[in-house]
Amino acid sequence: MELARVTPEGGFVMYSRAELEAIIKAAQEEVAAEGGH
Amino acid sequence: MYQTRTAYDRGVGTFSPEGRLFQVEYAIKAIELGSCAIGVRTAFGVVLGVEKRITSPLLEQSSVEKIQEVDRHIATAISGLAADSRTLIDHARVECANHKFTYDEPLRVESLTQSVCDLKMSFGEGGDDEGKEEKKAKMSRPFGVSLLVAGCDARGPQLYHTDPSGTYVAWDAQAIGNGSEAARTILRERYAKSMSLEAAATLVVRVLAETMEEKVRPLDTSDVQQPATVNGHHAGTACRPLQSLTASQIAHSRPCFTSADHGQQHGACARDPRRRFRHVQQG
Repeated sequence: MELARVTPEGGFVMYSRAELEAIIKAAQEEVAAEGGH
Repeated sequence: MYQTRTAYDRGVGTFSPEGRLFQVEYAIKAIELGSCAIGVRTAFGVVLGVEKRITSPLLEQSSVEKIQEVDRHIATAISGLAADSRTLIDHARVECANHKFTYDEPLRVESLTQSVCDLKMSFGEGGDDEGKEEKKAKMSRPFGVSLLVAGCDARGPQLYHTDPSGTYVAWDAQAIGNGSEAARTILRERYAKSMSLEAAATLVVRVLAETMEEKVRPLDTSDVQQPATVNGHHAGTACRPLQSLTASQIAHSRPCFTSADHGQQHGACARDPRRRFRHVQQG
């Protein structure tokens, strides 16, 4: 999986490994909070 | 139905009696076989996410690039035939550079998308203008790739989707490739115009996780594409803007042209094998 953002301030930036791990963790927590698996 | 199709899908420029161009439809089918790519636009920026199919543990994962920078303010995510995307992205980069050089301002996202779609439409047999180089068709068939073009300009963050017919449409959130139907359904349910960039990134990961063929697994370092480079140097986690170098930095980065230079120079050659190789090539 690859993730990138384009913002008015920073332009194009690929998400770093640490950022991607944090986002995946947040997504998993979100799913768990909603009662998913 | 089958007979009708075979009669009208042999040429790229022949409409069927129902008004369809089958070769273009086949190209759209080719995109559905590609890996999933998702774009989500917010007021703060655009997030792009792609599934990366690693078919073998021997594959150098960083060589598979599905998200590419076009200019500092524009990036694309692709799905479909990656080889076809190279032509389009090279064209897009040249357009951006030309515009910047001519007008000293970044090219608008919509203008770039339109330019890419103009190229996408230049397929077929070349018509009556075969003698004129600029009128010749660039491809004998439609481009089998779809692009999500994300960028920020004076109009704010924008996301465009282009397809092989040369059509482009602006979206708040869009998914292309394998599993895109399911991804669009989830995006319709969960997308909100007011969401933050972080929430958009989380949404993209959630949608990808639910539609990917493989399960999301713990990351290893090669999972993440190396950051963009500026002047050949890795820009770290963020793309550093072009900057002026000090005299000492220039001296430090100067390549060695003679063996005497090489002897005097810093330890950069020892640290970076690519430099050492360059010196060997230069003799």
